[in-house]
Amino acid sequence: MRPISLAPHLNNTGLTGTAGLDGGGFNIWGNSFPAGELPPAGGTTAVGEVPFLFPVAGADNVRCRGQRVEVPPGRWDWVHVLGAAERRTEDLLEVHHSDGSVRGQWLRLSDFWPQTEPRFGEVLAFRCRHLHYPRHVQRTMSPSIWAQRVPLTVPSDVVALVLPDNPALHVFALTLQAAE
Amino acid sequence: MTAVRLTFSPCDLPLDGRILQVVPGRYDWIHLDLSVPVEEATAWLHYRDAVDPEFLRSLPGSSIARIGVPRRDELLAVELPALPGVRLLGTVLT
Repeated sequence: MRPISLAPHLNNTGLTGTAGLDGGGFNIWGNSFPAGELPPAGGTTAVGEVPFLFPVAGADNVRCRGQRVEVPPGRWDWVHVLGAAERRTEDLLEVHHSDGSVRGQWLRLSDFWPQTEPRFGEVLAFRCRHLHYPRHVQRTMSPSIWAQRVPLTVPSDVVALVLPDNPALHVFALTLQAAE
Repeated sequence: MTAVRLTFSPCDLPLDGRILQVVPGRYDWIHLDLSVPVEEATAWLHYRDAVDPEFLRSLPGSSIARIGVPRRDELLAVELPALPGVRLLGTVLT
């Protein structure tokens, strides 16, 4: 397993503390996840057997706008994604190979709220007890972050992943799983 | 890294859009031994509670193709693409 740093691409604040509620903007309403109910910022957290680099505070997730994420050399079978969607969403993740070829793979993420079951068979990574609004803490809403996986049907010579141009998709962390 | 040798269950079927039942269970990959390489096609994965399209692609330089099974749900069947002239010679699920 190889966690990938998304630091160059973080462009959205989805986690806030109670002292900074108005700094969040996971969606158009300014909602955010309660950071205190999630793993420590900047550390590695495991969901099942998959380690993820949990983002640092501040801009802490990638709102997908076609960002290109470089991939280290290797043969990779799976891209594990820690993320959530403003509304359940599926879109194509582009897999770029060293020979210039590009292959699509479906990236599917369920709703961050309401607290429904996974729409796309993901693992529930975190379910918080509160939802942050810019001016209050809503104690009756429980937003979710999901652990999804995307297969790389052609595992060799992958040089980059290009995220969908779809701002409803938010990615907190990516981890590559080597091919067997 | 350890290479894994796959043992295919042999068959000889046309890729004509048929639905293959599988032993219900959770899987990572469907490997297909095809008569010719297939650059890209769409297969439909039938789970107990959903049906998803997924890409089928042959590995470079090989007629072995594979389909990822992302959902952590029970897979029941695979709806293969209709590709005239292509035959399915074996399958293995891992």
